[in-house]
Amino acid sequence: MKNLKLKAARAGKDMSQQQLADAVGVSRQTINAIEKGDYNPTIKLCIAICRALDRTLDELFWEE
Amino acid sequence: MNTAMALGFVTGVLVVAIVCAVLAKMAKKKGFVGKGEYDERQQIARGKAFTTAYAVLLVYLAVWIVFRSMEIPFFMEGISVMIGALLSIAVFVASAIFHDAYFKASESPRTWLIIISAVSLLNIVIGIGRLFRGETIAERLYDNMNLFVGALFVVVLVCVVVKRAMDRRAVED
Repeated sequence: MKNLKLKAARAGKDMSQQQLADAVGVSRQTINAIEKGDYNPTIKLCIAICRALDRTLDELFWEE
Repeated sequence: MNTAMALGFVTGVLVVAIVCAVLAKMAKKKGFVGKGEYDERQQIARGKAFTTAYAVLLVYLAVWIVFRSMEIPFFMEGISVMIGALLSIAVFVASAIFHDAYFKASESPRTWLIIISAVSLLNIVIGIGRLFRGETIAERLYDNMNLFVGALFVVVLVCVVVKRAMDRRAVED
């Protein structure tokens, strides 16, 4: 399932996939895979992404 | 393969390993390659690629045993075992490249493209030279590791170029 919340939060911060990837220390393709729902990140990476985007885990990764 | 040839082979492998280690260390020191680590998705993708490559090697060895027992000339040669290793390496590399797990997040594929091109060209030139040095193609082929190593690097090169073209076409949404 696509992670549209992550994509929206990244766009809201005016960051490209590459910039977010650099901020959390992964490849751009990994961010792309998370947004497309092709890869489930570890909690460690989820937290790093949340910190980079100033969001909580619930806001970005909790599915209602 | 007699003792002198075996010693020559081992010496060749050692020299190549030492040269590669020195070059890799220099490249790392200059910051061209080796910065950072594979990220978590890449590590998983590389693990899957290793598994596939391992399975391919096992299948190849099974086929090799069958053909060798039938005494088919090519499979009687030691080089045919090395071809199995090269085949499994090619499978690993291709799988890793197409899953974006061959280069580290911070590495530049351009540096590797130059290195891979140089190694493949060198091996193909040496291999073709050996192929046409007075003996029949079949006899030279049995004993022509350079040609197979060159072919492996060409496969790697093609995979990198195709993947880069695919990535360029994919628009970030």
